[in-house]
Amino acid sequence: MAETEYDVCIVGSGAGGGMAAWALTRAGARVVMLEAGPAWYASRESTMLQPAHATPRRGRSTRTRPFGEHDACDGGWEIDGEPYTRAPGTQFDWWRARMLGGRTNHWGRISLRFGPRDFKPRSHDGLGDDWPISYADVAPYYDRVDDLIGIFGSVENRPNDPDSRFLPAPAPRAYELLVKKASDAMGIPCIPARLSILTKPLNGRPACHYCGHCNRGCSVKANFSSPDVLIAPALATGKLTLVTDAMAREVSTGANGLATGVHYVDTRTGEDRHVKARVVVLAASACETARLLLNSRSPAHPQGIANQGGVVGKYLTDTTGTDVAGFIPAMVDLPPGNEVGVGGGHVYMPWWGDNAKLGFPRGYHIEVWGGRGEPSYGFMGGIHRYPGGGGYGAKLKDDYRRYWGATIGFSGRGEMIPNADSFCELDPTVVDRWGIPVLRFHWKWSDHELNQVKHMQETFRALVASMGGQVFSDMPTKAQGYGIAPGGRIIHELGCVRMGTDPQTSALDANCRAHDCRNVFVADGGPFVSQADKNPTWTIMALAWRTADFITAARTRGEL
Amino acid sequence: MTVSRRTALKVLGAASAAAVVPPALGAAVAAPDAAAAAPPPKPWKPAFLTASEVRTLRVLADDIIPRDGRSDSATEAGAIEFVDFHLAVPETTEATRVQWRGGFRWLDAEARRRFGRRYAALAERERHAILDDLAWPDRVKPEFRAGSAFFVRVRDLVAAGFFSSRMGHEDLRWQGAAQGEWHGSPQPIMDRLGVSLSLMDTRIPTK
Repeated sequence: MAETEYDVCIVGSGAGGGMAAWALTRAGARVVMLEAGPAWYASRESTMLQPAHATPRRGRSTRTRPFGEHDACDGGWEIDGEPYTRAPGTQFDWWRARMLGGRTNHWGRISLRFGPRDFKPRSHDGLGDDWPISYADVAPYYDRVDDLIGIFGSVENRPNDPDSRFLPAPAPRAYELLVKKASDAMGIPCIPARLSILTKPLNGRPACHYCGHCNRGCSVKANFSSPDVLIAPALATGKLTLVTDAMAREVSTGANGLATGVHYVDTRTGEDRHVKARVVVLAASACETARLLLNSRSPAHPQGIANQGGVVGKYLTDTTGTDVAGFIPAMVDLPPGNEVGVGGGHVYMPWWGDNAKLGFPRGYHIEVWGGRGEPSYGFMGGIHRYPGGGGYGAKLKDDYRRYWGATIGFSGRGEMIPNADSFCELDPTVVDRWGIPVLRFHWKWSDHELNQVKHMQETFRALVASMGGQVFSDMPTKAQGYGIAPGGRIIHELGCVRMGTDPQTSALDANCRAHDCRNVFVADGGPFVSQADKNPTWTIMALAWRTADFITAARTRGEL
Repeated sequence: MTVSRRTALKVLGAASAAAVVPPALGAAVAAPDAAAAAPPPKPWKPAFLTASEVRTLRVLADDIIPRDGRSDSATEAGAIEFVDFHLAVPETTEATRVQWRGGFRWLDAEARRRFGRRYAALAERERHAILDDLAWPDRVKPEFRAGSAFFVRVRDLVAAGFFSSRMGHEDLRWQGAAQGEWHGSPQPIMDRLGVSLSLMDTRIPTK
């Protein structure tokens, strides 16, 4: 029997793969999707409402669920049998999901559009590079993503933080209003958060019931995850064939250099398999896609696909991050009451500074957290840092009650500029358990990032102080990188298969198509030319939809 | 079809009722104080702690979180079993386990040095005399630093075991997930913090 030939093979089922599958199947293409992990739908398997005391672990993390046993996402910085390596003296931690929906099962649903300046950073300050497309090219797709998936927020008309087509934002919690007050006094804008959680019913999905457990996956689909919101509808068209437990090895090419399909390993049997397709869309996550391209060597592509300029793996970035938490005496012994809200902050602070007057060129946004969360493993650890100083007995027991939730924390999430010392490449000798050569990472922060993170630390400490609070930790020193999280820890790897107009300095064209292979596309974070200080999911989906439309139009014209 | 919030909540209610919720850890084990309760529970076998360490921890845990007018003590909430479980799981490092094992030894050695008996055999006044030297790390004397570090570990884990239990949730008036509606924080909390939703009406001008 002849091998089935699909119109499109998509590798990966997260934000980009799910979006591409949704758009391509609706346009009538016969699509096969390869996912390295098993099937998983929050609507069937989430432990959304289970209380902490229902399990002996009480929510503590496990090896494959580093964000807690109930976190929806199976994955982590270390996966058994799937190593990666680091150049001596450098640290980059690579987070990977291994399940249907990928990281859309994990993320905080913060859904920020990139702004006009984020697409043209070099024109603005001479650093990094401009994208070959502008905000106006992506805006219609942001609109469509808003309308299909749903996002709450507020219209603010800020120049580089474009508004979405928002559902109403939930009212801020009391302590978030305290933060607003402190922000006002410091001249920092504090506005409603922008999260892909439904505050009104949308497209057959109900509004949020405010259990606060978005990270566990939503049983009623009131927040966004790829399996329930994109893949299930794509499967319902009858056009999508989903192959789970399928670890992609390389893109196969014919004598003419065009892709013919994808080789993969069936991880349940260990057998090598191949799927034939006329078009290949890689959406395996930025670094995994770079690895696939580098491993796809053939006479027509001796350095791998999209790599004639040697840029696949280069220009890798992650978001900068640091956190500061403080004890807020005003919040001691508050009356009991429900302050759960959605599974995330109800306010945030978009970048407000004038970089021309600061010692760093790019900005960051601030995420706010605090108050009373479900008492779980780790509850109030380090009680001796509170004013009681520790103790034992009846007084201590009462201190726990009084101090519980009397904290506010800030997380900075900032833009990193691509640099020549931060990239990934194939390790020349190491393979994973499937025999696939693995990635080796190189990493270095520049002063652009370190000075920015210093500013975060100083700002967060000033915010805590202005609320009358005390910070739990000392200001980190320059030798400590001002508290910057190691590369990869914020899980926003972008840019190592970047788009551009010049095949010598970019891997993809302005439609996310390989310069040197006209039926290979990328639909994850790989094509990004800049990081921005915006969480990338919304832009990944807008670009994936745009790429899917380009493929559909080319197929209609008989070009693919 | 649009699923209404009411329908969703109904589904949620059904789902949570049908969910397989394992019995709370405290109820699944034979806490000696509850031994008289029927039906007779299976005897608990520690996965990490020795019998001697369990004896010490029962006394120490209730010194840390005693029964009071609002709730029972740490042992009654299953904190001993919680501590043992978490010391045994693979996520706890061998180095941490050594600090626990050695910490129990340190405590008994200190109890014998001062009062000639192990910690669990001391009178409350004697135990408190030792804890007074350990429980406030910022003012601990150099010779009690190691003992204090152990005590901090015990306090953190025992308190987490107590407050993450059903009893702890009730003690804290934690209302749980699935609230259904959200219109902002309750007014008494807003009043105490001196905030109102109108704070959101102002904006910092964009530069």
